[in-house]
Amino acid sequence: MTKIHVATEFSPTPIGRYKWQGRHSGEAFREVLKDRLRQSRVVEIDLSGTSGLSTGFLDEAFAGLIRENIISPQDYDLRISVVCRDDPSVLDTIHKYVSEAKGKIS
Amino acid sequence: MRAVNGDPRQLEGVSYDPHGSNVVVIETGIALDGGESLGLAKSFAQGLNLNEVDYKPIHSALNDALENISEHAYEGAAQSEERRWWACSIGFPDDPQSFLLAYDLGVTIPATVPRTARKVGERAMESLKRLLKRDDPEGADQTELLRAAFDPAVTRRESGKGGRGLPSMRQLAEQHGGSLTVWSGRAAAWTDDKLLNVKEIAGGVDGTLVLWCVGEKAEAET
Repeated sequence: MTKIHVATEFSPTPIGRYKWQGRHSGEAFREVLKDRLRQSRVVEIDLSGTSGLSTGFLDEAFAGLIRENIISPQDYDLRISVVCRDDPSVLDTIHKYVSEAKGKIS
Repeated sequence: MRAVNGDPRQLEGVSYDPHGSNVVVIETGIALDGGESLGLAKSFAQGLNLNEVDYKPIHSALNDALENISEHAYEGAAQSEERRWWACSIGFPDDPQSFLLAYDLGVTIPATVPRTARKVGERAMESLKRLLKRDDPEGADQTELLRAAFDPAVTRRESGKGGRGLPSMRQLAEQHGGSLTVWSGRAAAWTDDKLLNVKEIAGGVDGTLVLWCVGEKAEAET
């Protein structure tokens, strides 16, 4: 398993859905995730220490993995693990968007 | 304070304290930058005496508003001056009220509601038609279109990409005992103790101004 600490390895304040909106967008982070998924079967993403996580960022980074066929709906829960110690409600938001993406694909 | 000379594009990163007690923080940009919005959210939260955990939902809501501007207000425009946004927080140390604003010069919310609903999906479009009681949403009154933008059934991206719009921004304002006011094109909408009001603005405004005002109830109770 490999780990990514978003606040220190990507940005403490990610924002935006698409790369054209800014450097620290969900699409840009999804590309980081894609690379890590090539290297490791399981990736743990730690969102602790970040602030201002926007819905566009979360949706594009995580649900986007399924929409863009980077990971199958069946594999998502086996290969992606998300933690956010200072704001666990973020996990519910991600879960909601991922579930919607799974529902649309399957 | 940097000279403004009537050109709001010169308001880059200004902190303005004209009377030595009030704090006004203004940011503007084209690309989205979470660091800039963090400063605004912190300044806004300071006026509400919120701790570090409590300001995070405000930071997320502000970022959502800026994302909405970036994604919807300037549809089709190049990544240039045409896509500029402005945001501002105003706090008063001895006053329970705090203000947070987001502004754009885009095509306005009433203009984007029908096409956003169409993009969101058939159910959203049907909800919009039902709300407006007409089959051609584009022909609806601007005030009614702005009212519709507050309806989660119209704006929620249920089957596509997730996002939050005015309903969530309103919820955040109300959670903190405040209100949300939106001026967009020829329409204005404001929340008042859970009620949503709309009216036509004579002459209208260029673009969209979203204003969160919180702390009103706290003031009334003390």
